[in-house]
Amino acid sequence: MNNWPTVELDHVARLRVLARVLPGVWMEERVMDAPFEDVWGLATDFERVPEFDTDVHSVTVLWRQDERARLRVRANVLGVGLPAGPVAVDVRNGWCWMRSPVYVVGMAAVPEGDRTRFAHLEGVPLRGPRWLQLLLQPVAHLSRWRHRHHIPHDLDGIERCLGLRPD
Amino acid sequence: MEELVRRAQRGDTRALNALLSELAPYVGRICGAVALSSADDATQEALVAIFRHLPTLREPLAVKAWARRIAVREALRAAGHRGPVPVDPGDLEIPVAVDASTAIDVREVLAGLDPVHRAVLVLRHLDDLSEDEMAAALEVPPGTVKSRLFRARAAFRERWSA
Repeated sequence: MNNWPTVELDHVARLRVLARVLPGVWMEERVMDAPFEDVWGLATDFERVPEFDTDVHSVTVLWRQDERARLRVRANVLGVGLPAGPVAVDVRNGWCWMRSPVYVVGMAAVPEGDRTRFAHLEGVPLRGPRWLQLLLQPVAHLSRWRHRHHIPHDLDGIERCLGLRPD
Repeated sequence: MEELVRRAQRGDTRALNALLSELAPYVGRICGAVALSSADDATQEALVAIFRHLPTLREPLAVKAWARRIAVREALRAAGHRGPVPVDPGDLEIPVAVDASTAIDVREVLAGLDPVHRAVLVLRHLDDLSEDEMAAALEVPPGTVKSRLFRARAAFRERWSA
């Protein structure tokens, strides 16, 4: 019976589902001309995030054990690092989900030959009862608009760090 | 799973992720066997529909049956089925696939069947549902379920032995 046709979502497909379910988030994906290990190693080396994400001033890993971690993040506001709250992380090979009380970041990657399909999701999730979602609809729109423009810069930054595009 | 559903309904994205891990393989099995070449799209659409509407689910204990109904609907839509869903469960004997070549044969045989018949077979043989449960998933009366599985069984046997 187990040999009947079935569908197994890979990590990127799974992130696509979440991007369509959470009202205030945006997702972009890109095939990067680098091996999976290089792309994923950089993306999940959390203290290096400020190298490719200009919104982040600094990241401190408070602890990391198995598939869980906790980060202290300072946001970059006009060059000044401001506390952005604690961030809880679930991370495994090809999948990473980070959440603060008001913000989520998702990353997923799958190998495509010698290259890597990398997906990045970010925003204000605004999940909850229907009435709350309706009330916060303008915030969701603003968050999507903001991250639609921001996330491609993050992806460019990752490619720069990997030496795939000039500084 | 009940507590997971409640937490996801309240907006806990970690619970949402955990629930996605629980339901995705199940939805993938239904969509894989019913929608075949359109199964990837059907699975995505079904999961999006399930999680978008999760806050409206009043009985978290019923989440699997509720997800099943949505998955069947999306799989049939992706397979190009229009109109009411037919079926008939019985004691059909479907070959149990034991190796890769048999798996390919099952897929080929399923591809020759009406999507509605594939839905009946997958619910009966992969999920072991009762007639009433199948009727609920297919959104048809139990009597309709009975007649359709007869045809599905006959069609499967005919193609399998061809």
